[in-house]
Amino acid sequence: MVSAASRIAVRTGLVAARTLLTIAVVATAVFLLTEALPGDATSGLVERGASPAAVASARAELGLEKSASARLWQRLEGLARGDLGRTAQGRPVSDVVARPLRRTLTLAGIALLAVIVVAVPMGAAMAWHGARASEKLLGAASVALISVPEFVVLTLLALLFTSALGLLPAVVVADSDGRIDVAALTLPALALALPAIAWTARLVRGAVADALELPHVEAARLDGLAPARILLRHALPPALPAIAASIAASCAALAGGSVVVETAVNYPGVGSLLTQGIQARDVALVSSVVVVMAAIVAFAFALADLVRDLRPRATWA
Amino acid sequence: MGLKRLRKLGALGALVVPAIALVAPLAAPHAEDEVVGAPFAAASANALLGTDELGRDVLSRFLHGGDELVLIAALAAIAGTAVGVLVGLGAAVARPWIGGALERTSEVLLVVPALLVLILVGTSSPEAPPVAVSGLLAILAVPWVARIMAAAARGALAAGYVEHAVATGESTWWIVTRELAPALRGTVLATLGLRFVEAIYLVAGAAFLGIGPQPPEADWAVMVRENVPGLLLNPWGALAPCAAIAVTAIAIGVACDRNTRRPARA
Repeated sequence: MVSAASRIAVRTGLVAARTLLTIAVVATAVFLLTEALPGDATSGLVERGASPAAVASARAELGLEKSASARLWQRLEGLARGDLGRTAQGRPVSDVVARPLRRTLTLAGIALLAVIVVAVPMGAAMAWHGARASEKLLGAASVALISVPEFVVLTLLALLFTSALGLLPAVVVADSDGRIDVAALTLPALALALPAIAWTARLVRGAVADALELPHVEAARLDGLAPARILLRHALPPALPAIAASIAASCAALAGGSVVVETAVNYPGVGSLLTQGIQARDVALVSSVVVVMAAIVAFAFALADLVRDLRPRATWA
Repeated sequence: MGLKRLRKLGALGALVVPAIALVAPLAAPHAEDEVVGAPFAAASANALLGTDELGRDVLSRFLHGGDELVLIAALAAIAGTAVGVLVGLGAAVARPWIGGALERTSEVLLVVPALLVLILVGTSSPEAPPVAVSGLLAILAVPWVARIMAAAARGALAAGYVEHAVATGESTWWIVTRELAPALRGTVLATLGLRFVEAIYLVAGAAFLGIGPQPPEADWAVMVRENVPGLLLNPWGALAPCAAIAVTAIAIGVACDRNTRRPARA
């Protein structure tokens, strides 16, 4: 099947190219935004009362004397090589960001797993049962959860745990090796996952409900096949691209939400790094972190696009 | 039955809760930075919800803490929706290629968590006035709103009355503001509600991270962060602002869910 293999290669290439283009556009937009704003990478130094000479040398070291277009080019070229630039203190951003990023991906990964494991079956069940009262109530509950910021969910959960167990589980502390007790991640992961589950379940419900109306699925239903078999074999494949897209979208929500939740529980991930960056007014660090997070989300969307584009034609019938 | 009543309650709450937040500071018994007792003291006659980490009255700070959040979010939602509706409907009527550009822009925005953009801008210019936050959120919302409105207009465009208006030489502005926007008011209202919920989410999240209101200013999100360490001593310090943010967001979320389910037909 040479043609199938080449089709896959072409589709994958197209998705990869579009993803790289998106990342380049984001990096450019972030660069232009920081250019347009009054502060630059050395604002923090100025605020801390560094001498003009020290500021000047920092500016020279960070290459801030060059023209904007030269720096933009340098930035994009660096990103292409995997170079994330330097923080205001002159340390490579990739060194500073590596460990917190791994921790954030761990936390967000646990939450994402919960989202997939819970939201997909839940959404499918909601679609299958149609307009039952329980489904309506679940719908209302999910509207409520979607609307509430994660840190509020976290605090309410912490309060629940506190009053039920009489202890305060809301702080995750890393030991001196930087190792994290995974059990302590339960609460922040739950706070991240709950709104994302509510959101994803609704989208999955919509996608599966549409698929259930396809002629061949309806035929299988009328033939009296078992619900699980109809859902898995017939309804899920056509609904898969929409489900993948909604999971990718929940990655974007998790990326934003984890920043806040991490800060709330003192988890030393990207959120804490960003908070340090905010306090030190390190625009270089913050803008690099934004580009990295956007690239990760773009990667998730690329995977969803691949699910859509590489789906075998047969199941589409 | 119960659900219908819940939605009605939500619609009422969507108007009442933000209004309460705006006038609540007038009812505060103490100033927002006045120390009235020991830190994290339990509820008493002098401090009905107890005190916070510095011994300030939780009730007073709670009543003071919502107006700016609600105002910034409302401004962002109204501005973003208004511009987005005009752009989206205008594009649908007069410039179909803008629709493609909106799609591309939203695809890029999809990838960047808006909270991170807010953090970036807040880091770069911390002295920017709160209105600037509204402006930024409004700008970020425009492509979304415009895309939804352009899609919603497709049905209306085929309905004949728009074609008639175009044929009789009505201006795009007239068609958008007098024909399409009123016909699609259900979608416009639902979008406005969703934008407001999103703006509350983002402004509160950013404030929680230290962008926006600075101590000793009272703010619901900042109160949560300040008072979580005292959760066991005086839970009200974190619970009251949490509940306020949740109720504000849920009331509007439930109200606009009703609107999205029953869109006004053109």
